[in-house]
Amino acid sequence: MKKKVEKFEKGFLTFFNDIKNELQQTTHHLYDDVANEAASAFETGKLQLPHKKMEDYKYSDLKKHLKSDFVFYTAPEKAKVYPKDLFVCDVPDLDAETVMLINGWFHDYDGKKLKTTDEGIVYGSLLYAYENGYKEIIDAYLNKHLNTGSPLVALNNMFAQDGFFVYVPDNVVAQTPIQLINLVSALEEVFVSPHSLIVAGKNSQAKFLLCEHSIFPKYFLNNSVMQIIALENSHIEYVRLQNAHNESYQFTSTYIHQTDNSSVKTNTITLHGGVVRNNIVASIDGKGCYNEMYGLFLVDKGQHVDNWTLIDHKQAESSSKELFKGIIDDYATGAFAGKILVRKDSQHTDAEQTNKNILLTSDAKMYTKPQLEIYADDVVCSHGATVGQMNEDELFYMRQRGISQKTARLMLLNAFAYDVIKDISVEPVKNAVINLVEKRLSGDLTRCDKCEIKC
Amino acid sequence: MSNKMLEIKNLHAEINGKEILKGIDLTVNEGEVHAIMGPNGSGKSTLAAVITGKPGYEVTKGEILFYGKNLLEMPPEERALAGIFLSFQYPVEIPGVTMMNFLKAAVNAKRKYEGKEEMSAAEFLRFIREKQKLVEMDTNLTNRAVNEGFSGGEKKKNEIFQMAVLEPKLAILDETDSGLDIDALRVVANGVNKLRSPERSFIVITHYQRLLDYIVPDIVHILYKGKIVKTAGKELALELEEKGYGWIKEQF
Ligand SMILES: Nc1ncnc2c1ncn2[C@@H]1O[C@H](COP(=O)(O)OP(=O)(O)OP(=O)(O)O)[C@@H](O)[C@H]1O
Ligand SMILES: [Mg+2]
Repeated sequence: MKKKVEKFEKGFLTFFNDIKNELQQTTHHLYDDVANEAASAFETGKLQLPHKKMEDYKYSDLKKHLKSDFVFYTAPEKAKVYPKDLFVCDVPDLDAETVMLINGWFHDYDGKKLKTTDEGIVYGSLLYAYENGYKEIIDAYLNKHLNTGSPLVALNNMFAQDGFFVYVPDNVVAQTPIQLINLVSALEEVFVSPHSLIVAGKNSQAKFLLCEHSIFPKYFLNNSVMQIIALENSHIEYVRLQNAHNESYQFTSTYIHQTDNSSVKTNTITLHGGVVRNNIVASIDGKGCYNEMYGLFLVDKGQHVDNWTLIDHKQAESSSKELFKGIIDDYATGAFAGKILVRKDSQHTDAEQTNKNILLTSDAKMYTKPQLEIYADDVVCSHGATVGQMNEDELFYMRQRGISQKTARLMLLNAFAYDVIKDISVEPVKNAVINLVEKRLSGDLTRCDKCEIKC
Repeated sequence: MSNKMLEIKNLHAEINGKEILKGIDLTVNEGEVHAIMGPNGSGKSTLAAVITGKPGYEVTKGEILFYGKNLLEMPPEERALAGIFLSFQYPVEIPGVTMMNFLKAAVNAKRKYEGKEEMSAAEFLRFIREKQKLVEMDTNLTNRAVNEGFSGGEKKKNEIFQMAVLEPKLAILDETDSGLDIDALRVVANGVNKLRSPERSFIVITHYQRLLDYIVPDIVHILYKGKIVKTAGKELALELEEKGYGWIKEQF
């Protein structure tokens, strides 16, 4: 069922009350508690839609973008389309298991809502998994390591639809990546609210690629939540590829929870998007953990990308490495806020944060805010942030060898971006990302081949 | 009578409003080797930068012709493609750009300029290996990012290697000898000598006679306070080695 919320910013609470019963029934009451809690927090003013007077959103006045009407699907639409027929994937040679959400609902193109890979990973629809054997696991982890006080999480909870569910059982070591496709495909301006959970069991290993796409040239809002639970000695790699047109609003919240000796590596690559806000929180709640948090964004025209990250070292003997880079062209803006929190007993924490940005024009803007909060005394923490132009000496050196200015710039920008991408371990994903970045930088990314908005 | 290659006439140039070159006249014919010597800060690297078109310098007077063409109107890459090569006094490190990609881009740009097709991957590799041998360049270096973490001597060798790859008409070597050990100096000089030909010219900027024992110049200039104050044969370098710059400084 399609329902319309008028003037989202003003109407979303009324809208919630209107569709609440229907939505909560469709979602088997999985989110009722968090949804109702979120709604009353907004009602009482305890929570507000993000706006620039809030410290965490001072570079991204998201509320401003929520003035218009949106359509919401309170239940999945029937569609029997194969992912490959719907859109051409950006990562063509990928040998991956594929699952898809369309407009926030699970798309069982082959009639299966939950599958198991040859290597033993269970993946599919969160709602279906809850009813079909995975209640215990979902109850144990869903919404347990989220900050429900985040306005974006709360908003997602209120309208939570289906989401990806992936369970990597203990000791399962998988090479084949799971590709999660979060697709927006509607002829109207739609808002979606997927709510996903990945649980990696003890001693397990798995890799993920999350692709976010839109098919039609309508503006849309994608406010998604992803929870990644890495249990003891599990190793997860997660690449998020954001590539939507310039009329899109993409708000994402990723919550990572790590226990002893686990490692989680995330790459958040934003090739395109109108207004993008990524909240990425890693809670390192174990010893011997490693968190690698990488991010890259490329913006031009009036685009805006804001990465807000928190790495919370809750226990001793763990390390984290954070690297975010941005290339900002035209009059676009970028923002990075990175907080590293080392709690009192988190001795021997080793945390490194780097944020580097290149402004290609004098109108391009970048806001960067590193923030170290350290309450333990025996730790190694470093951070560095730079915002600069292209290196003229490097450019001249290359041009002196006969390389054109355009090629030299491109090579240098690719090199700049490569740092963030080089450690992606799935070769086809890495190569595709390198390729996409190259195309994006040289101005002929095919992103909009299928799209009428030539952004 | 050999052909005129480079003609610099009454060249004045400044950076940040400060005049550094104050009227340079210099003509280099095909096949000649010119040495430019002179005290620190006299403007030698500035001259190299202005010839190659480094942004930031303003030419306020004079002209530079290369085979009769006005160089000052050409962007740096066009000057390079026309055949001018600079071995930098301080080669730049370019993290993230591999030597191979860098060389490929440079070689392909040159081939395109000459109307030739790009080399195949195998051809290119063979070509590079050959040139590496010529300058006794460690093959490992080509697998790394451009100059990144190279030692001072390796950087200089890398410049000569690139020169061998690009086969310029005019090579300007800006203190390519400084920071080299005795063996490396010989290797670099041999590399240069192997490239000497009746059509190729060199401008060798150096502080030391030592290099000129290997690369014997036809003409030696002394650049002082932005002007060429003395021009003579190779014996001038020996004289400088003996007497230093004191007598020049007294004169001007
Ligand atoms: N960006 C700049 N701004 C101001 N002055 C500059 C700048 N670059 C160079 N200079 C000055 O120009 C003068 C000439 O410098 P240049 O590097 O050409 O000397 P050089 O003859 O190559 O010296 P050396 O033998 O030490 O290499 C110096 O006094 C130097 O300080
Ligand atoms: Mg110099």
